[in-house]
Amino acid sequence: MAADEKKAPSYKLNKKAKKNSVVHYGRLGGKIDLDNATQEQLKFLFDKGHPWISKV
Amino acid sequence: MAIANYSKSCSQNTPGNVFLAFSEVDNIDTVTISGGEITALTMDGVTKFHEFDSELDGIKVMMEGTGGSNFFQTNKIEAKFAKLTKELITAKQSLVDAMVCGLAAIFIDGNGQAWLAGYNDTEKKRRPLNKITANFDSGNKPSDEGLAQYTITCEGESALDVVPFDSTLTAAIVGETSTFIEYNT
Repeated sequence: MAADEKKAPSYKLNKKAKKNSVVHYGRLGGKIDLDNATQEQLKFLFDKGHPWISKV
Repeated sequence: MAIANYSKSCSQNTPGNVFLAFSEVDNIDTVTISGGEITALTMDGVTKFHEFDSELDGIKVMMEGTGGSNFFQTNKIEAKFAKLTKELITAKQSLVDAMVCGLAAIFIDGNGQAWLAGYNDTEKKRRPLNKITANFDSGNKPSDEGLAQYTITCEGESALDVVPFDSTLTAAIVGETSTFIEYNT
């Protein structure tokens, strides 16, 4: 994990992204604060087709 | 929550609704909320919301709540469809079948604002529209205005209101370019 964090990021928020946004998913309360999303969370959203996430 | 201010805006208010689309609530994959508005929405796989063409001025949205130490409200969408055909019966039956797990609906109100019903960021998919009533009255004679149409009502109990889409998504929904709605052609 530490080694991964040293790598250049693979996913980023694109120009469509708005500040102070929270993505809700699942039935029971999953949510991601986009301003503080990790690479794993961005990949998760990218794989779901979220329009605000781009691959670097 | 501290009591909020409310300022009246000096612009016209147009009652009624102009557009309605339904999806099974489980088809919603992610909902992005910014400042109390939906700013992005993705669907599971290739699923979409499906447009239901109502009669002119035939869509009515009602929210009726009551409470004291606890508050709950019924969010209800009533729409009129004509005429009785096999296609209408199929569409109605698809709503009946979907009601087992619950529905979400998108509607555009008379002021041009798009809203999502049956889903909110607190209850998620747990309190969708989950009850349907359907009424058909053929009328007696050709001059019986407003009859020979199905009135279909979908409703659900929730602690919260319907959720607005932001101006960008509302423009896409109104402009029929939204990627999560299958429009009638």
